[in-house]
Amino acid sequence: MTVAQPTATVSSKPSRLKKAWEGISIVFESRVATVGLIIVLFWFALGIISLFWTPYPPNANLFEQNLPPNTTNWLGTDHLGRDITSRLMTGTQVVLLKTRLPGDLGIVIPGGVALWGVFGALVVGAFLGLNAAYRGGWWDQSIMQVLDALVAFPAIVLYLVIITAFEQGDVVVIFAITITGAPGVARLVRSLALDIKTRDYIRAAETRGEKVSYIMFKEIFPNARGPILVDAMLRVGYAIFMIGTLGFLGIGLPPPDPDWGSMVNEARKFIFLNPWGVIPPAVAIASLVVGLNLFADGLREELTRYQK
Amino acid sequence: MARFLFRSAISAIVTMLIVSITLFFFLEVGSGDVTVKILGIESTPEQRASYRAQLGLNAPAWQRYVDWLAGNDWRAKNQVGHPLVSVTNQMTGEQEWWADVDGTLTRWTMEDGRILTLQRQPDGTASARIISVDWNTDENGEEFFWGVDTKNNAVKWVRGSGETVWVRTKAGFRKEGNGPREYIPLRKGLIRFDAGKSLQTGRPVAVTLIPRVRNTLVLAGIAFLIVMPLALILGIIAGINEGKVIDRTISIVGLTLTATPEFVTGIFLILIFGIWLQVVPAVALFTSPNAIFEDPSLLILPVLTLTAVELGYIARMTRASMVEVMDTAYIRTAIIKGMPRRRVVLRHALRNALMAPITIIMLHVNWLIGGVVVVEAIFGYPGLGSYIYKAAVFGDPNAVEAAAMLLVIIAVITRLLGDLAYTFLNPRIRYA
Repeated sequence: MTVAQPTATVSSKPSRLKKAWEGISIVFESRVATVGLIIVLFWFALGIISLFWTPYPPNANLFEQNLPPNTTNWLGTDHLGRDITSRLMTGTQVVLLKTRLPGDLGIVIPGGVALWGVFGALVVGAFLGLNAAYRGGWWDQSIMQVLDALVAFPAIVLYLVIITAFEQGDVVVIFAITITGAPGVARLVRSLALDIKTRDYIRAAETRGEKVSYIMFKEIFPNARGPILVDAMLRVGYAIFMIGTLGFLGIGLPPPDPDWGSMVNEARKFIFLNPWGVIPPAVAIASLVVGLNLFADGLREELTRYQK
Repeated sequence: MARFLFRSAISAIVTMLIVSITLFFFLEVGSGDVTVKILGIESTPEQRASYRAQLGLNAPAWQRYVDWLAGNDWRAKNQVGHPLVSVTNQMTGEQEWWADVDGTLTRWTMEDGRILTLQRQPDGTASARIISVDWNTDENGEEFFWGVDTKNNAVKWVRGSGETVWVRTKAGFRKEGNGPREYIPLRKGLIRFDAGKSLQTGRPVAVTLIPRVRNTLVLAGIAFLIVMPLALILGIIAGINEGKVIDRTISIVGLTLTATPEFVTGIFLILIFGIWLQVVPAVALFTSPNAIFEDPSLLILPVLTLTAVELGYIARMTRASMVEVMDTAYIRTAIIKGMPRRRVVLRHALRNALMAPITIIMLHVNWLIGGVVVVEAIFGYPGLGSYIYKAAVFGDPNAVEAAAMLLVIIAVITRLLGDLAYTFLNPRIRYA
């Protein structure tokens, strides 16, 4: 009688690079996600190019006003005679690539307003959601009541009030995105954490005597990251949507750097003179948001397919 | 059920408290000197200071919040020493405050350092009389008198020395002597259904808010009536054809419509229908508050914009729900046993598939209102959305708070309706 030997194959850990690639390659299994990713990367690339090169300086009025598309100005010019192509390219920066800190020093940090805003919402939302779910009881009740209150009234009112309360600025918009986004993240994290909380490895950690914060952030949170990531991607799209809307309402990111929403708003006033002016920035916002949505949707479909 | 309704009501009240405090806080932090916005930058510092006092803005923030919530006539009553009552003015239809001095409704006014007593006649006019009033003496030896003035404030006059005040009139600012030293602008507070006055117009908030709410209800209502059946039908069609071309088309178009900001959709609709095809007015001019009832074509583009944004979202929700239901064992059983597909979809799947979208639609009302703000801004539509926008940008606390409370009530009621619809569609769920 032979005894089955434990097959102690040397578990050669796949290299980090390979693991990362496996994670990413999921994207290409879904056509929808691939298309979304391509759109998003296109705008990222355009933004990065605009850091070094644009056809003309984006804030210089070099041309005639309100020109339709022509060979010099591929997308025409705006009401101040600025090249729309250059402004469109530069407009990617504030959304995706850079944040201007307040103050006279003009400090710029990498990472766009939409990205930092969603990051803020993630941090605050995850903190609240984890505490509500893991501690339960009184914590849960009070946190959820406050979040319910925030959810119960339209984000746009909160945005308007916050932004008029402080001066226009990148950081204020980030703050507004954080506050309006946090309740949604918290609800999602809470629902995920309530499930994960019942698993055995959490019991084990508790038995080991781990600290509450360790269990919440080291044990629960990493295991909930899949859906949170997909949700975050949708939130970036929504944040861009909102930044555009605020710009359109005239209270978005401050000038002089071009911002798509305010470009639409300015071009709209001259829509009878030059109907071409509103189209590029409008298409830019819409396509970037659609791209992020497609990407997130495709990714979610692929991720849940593995679960089934 | 009663317990459930009770709990919802409590939750709504707590929500309104939290929301109103949050809003009040932000407006307080940010409004800066709101009198500059009201009076214009050419006003002098004395004019602003005087006007601030008249608006009662010198009181601490918490006190103004309590005043807003619960009114301040009970506080002012102790100062005046007589019960304060509010009476409807027959001429203007607005509320007026009077002190009830032994059964006679009385106000006071100061002329040349003396107090004149105005007594309200049954026909609503006031007759002026000189009746000696009881002056009180403070610790500095100054004689003062608390009364109700003709502008609905409880005020403190000091004997012999009228303060110089700047009175805002239609023609501009007028300097007056004989002014009071302290003001408490009388109000009943929100819990007694008085939302206060708007700083922008100086009129009660309710007067301007009601016609705007009506306009918005018309806009949102029509959009809702178009969106609901259309989105549900499209979603169901996509759901039962999962993976086919028609499903892909509906899904992608729906996603694109949802992900496109309202202002982009609106601008494109204006471009296409207003400027290139010229079938509807590109710019809607609302010449009167009732313009939408006189010329319904003004509504076409705003309604289309709202419809486009909502349609995609609800259709996608319905589709997802339908796909899930079509995947269940009981539907498969029904199909396998040879039941006509039509019957399977309509009788077995539909009811369960509609559950998720209906609750989501109800929770989605907030989003709809966000869209309404933008749509009203694009088309210059005189509704609740543009009201909120203007009030928030101006920093008009009473107006913002009133509109926000209304929105919270709408949100809570729709959530409740969603829950009730849920029990109707799924009898297994009971709210105890």
